[in-house]
Amino acid sequence: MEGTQIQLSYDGGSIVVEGGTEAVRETLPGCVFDSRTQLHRAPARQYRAIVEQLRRERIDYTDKARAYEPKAFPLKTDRLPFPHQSEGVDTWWRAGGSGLVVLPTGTGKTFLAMLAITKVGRPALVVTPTIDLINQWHRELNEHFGGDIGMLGGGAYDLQPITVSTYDSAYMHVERWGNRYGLLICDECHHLPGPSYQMIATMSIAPFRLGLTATPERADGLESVYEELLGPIVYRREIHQLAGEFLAEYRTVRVYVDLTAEEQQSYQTHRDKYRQFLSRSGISLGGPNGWQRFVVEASRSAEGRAAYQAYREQKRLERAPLAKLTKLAELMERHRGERILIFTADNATVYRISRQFLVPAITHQTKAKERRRMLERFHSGEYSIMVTSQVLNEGVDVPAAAVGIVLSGTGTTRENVQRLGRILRKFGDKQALLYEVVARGTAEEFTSERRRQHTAFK
Amino acid sequence: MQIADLRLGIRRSRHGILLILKSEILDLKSQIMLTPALVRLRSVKNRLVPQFLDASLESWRNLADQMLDLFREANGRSYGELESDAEDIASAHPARIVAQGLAKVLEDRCEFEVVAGHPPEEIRERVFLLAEQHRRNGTLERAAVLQLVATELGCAVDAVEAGLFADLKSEQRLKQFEDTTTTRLIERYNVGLAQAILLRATSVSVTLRNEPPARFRRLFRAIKFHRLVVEVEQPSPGIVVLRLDGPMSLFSATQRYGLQLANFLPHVLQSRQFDLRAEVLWGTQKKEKLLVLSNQDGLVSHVADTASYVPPEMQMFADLFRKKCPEWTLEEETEVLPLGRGFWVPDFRLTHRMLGGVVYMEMLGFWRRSSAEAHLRNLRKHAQTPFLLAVSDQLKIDEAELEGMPAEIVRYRQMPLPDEVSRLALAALTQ
Repeated sequence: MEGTQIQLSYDGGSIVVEGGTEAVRETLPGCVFDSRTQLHRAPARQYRAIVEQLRRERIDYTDKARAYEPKAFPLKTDRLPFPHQSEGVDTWWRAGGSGLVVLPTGTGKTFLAMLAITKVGRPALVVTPTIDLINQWHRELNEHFGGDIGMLGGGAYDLQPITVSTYDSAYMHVERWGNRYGLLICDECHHLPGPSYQMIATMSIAPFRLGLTATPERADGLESVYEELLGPIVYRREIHQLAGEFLAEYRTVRVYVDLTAEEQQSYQTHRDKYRQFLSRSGISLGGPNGWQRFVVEASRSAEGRAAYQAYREQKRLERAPLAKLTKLAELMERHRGERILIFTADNATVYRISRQFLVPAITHQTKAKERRRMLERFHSGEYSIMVTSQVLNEGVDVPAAAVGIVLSGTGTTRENVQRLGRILRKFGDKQALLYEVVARGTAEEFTSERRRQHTAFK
Repeated sequence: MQIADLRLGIRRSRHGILLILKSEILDLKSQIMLTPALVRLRSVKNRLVPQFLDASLESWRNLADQMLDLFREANGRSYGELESDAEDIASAHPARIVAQGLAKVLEDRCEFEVVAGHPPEEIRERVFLLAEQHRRNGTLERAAVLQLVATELGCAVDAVEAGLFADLKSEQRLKQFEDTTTTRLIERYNVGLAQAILLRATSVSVTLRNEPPARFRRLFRAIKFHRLVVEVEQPSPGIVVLRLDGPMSLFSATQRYGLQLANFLPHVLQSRQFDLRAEVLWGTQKKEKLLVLSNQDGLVSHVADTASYVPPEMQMFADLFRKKCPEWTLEEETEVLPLGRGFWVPDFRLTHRMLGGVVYMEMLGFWRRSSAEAHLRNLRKHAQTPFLLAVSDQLKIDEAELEGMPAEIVRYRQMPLPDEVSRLALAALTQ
């Protein structure tokens, strides 16, 4: 095909460039000669840069890569954007329609995304972390755009001009949708930098990209990847800048409980036991791969297995000592009639609380239909309390929730900010309250300190 | 037979995509693999040496039997109980992760079901709604709520308590276990072990020796199905090297194709003689390691081998041709020829004893019409070496479709006639 017109095509997440002269192909952004297939190839995310260069240099080309056409998506509702929404989307558009908008949870990121879809006028794929969230996006997109909204994930495979997908399904099927969307929206985009999910953005040709999150910071420092995959942070507002007017007023309260004497003793014994094993094996849990090394070492001897059991036991005591459950009962009573969300670190505790207090539980094992009905009942007030581990950490709308009780969790600020976000959506004139129940005299005190290292908790 | 564009297994119509997805799901289900955490290996310098089980060793057979017995007698027991019993056997054994691996293989042969007098979802809803009412009135008492629901449902309080979360995975009961033999279990474990390492592979290279054309066709079909990119090298006659990864591997080593490479393994295992080398990024630090496998490892594929089947008319033709046309040598092991974006493996290689020239021969017999037509289009466009095409009348291919084909053509009813083939092969050679 040497000497003929340049031709772009899409091949399994890459752009194949054929025709033209080698000199031209070589200089195209991201283009590399593929000796396996004897042609030039670039990651699909370079599509925009390649096309821009060809146009700038006035080189004729045939575009067989792009499998979509511009299309208008007028909003069917007359909802007016908040100032931070229109400002955010305008700033993003002026930055070339590529980049991150950072807004606190509950400030209307979904509607901002819809404004972006209307502005861009290209088929759009929205990627979001969980099944609950694809359902929620689907509902809202349907309400504002009408027509068929596609869905990928949770057993669905239906690509439409506007489609919602989980990160998992988007990753799994990227070869199939990668050239069919002009706008890629990554909701809760702090998930994107992981080595697998990165491929979603790398293997898509979408010239327009929007990342949405309240918490762009990552523990592994991979924030630098955003720039390459989605673009820079173009707009940012923090919780304290929007609280009151667009978010509910909130307070965060730390409550300490004591282990019973028996628990305290058991906690100490088990803790000493596994820590002795660690120090004898020369492992530091905080060090690189500390946890993996512990698991490997622990599986090698009877002593190791006992140490691992001891570790689990002290963790269990720290997460759900009797006093925490007593405190939980007390808080539930104090806020009787208000909508309460209880968060724990693990599913076993979720079910324990659900059984003991007879409150509905949501975990990753809860089927979509039952989940939906529980959330509806919670919203309408038929249920006033729900207990969950990590599934409701992110994004899911529970505007009625006014009280959050964190019984246990990880030490990440992201989880803590996201959990706070669940109870911050405006709902009447509610005043939101986030409790954090901490077992005194255990390692949890440090965990709690770590997760509060964020402006929202100052 | 040929495989068109190996890298694009994608049909763009909606209907097609659904079909492909379905078959993929089936394919995945049939592939039982261990998880990377259950992999037992030794690390020798940069080599990962999987510790396969010797199926003739009494100690492994005993452990396998012990696990098998557990599962065979587990009907009606809960997943949680089964898991904990399996763990008991495992932790009592010096090679705990072998026992866990065997349990994983068996677990994948199980079907679990929810057992409860009333649907747990319904029990939960009643309990939670009632508890909510009582809580609002400030009269919440756990036992009273459960009792009231039990009365409503006409069952015992215990049944309410037990049914509340009977649909959780740990509470589900074993409905059916697909039994297997001790040897098969160990074989399956070994393949699953190799596959679990391949899940972390970035590329695989396979060297094959003296395989029949049908084997290559099957391998190429599997490569296409798993959407891998292949580079073929033939360093000397009878030896073919396949280098496999995916389109995006060009830019950086990616584990994205690990699952596809792992699924490809059982097809390789059917070869008589092979060497496989996989580049693997292993462990949380993703260190570069090498996995080396060969037919010497004795891994047994669980995928049905259809490539060993030779249609009778093909065998008859080959026998007769050898007898009647001694001026030619006929070989069933041919060559992998590039054809456009894909590859082509003809059925026979005819070498003229006097002239020394080679003519490839392809028999178009029981083909789907559409694939035969696509193949003909590709041959017409891309074939470079002289060849001979034998077309069965049963295919009902029009003369027009064969017009302008860079080949000599034989039509046949039951079997191509050796004399005619010899004459046309000579014509192809001297063209």
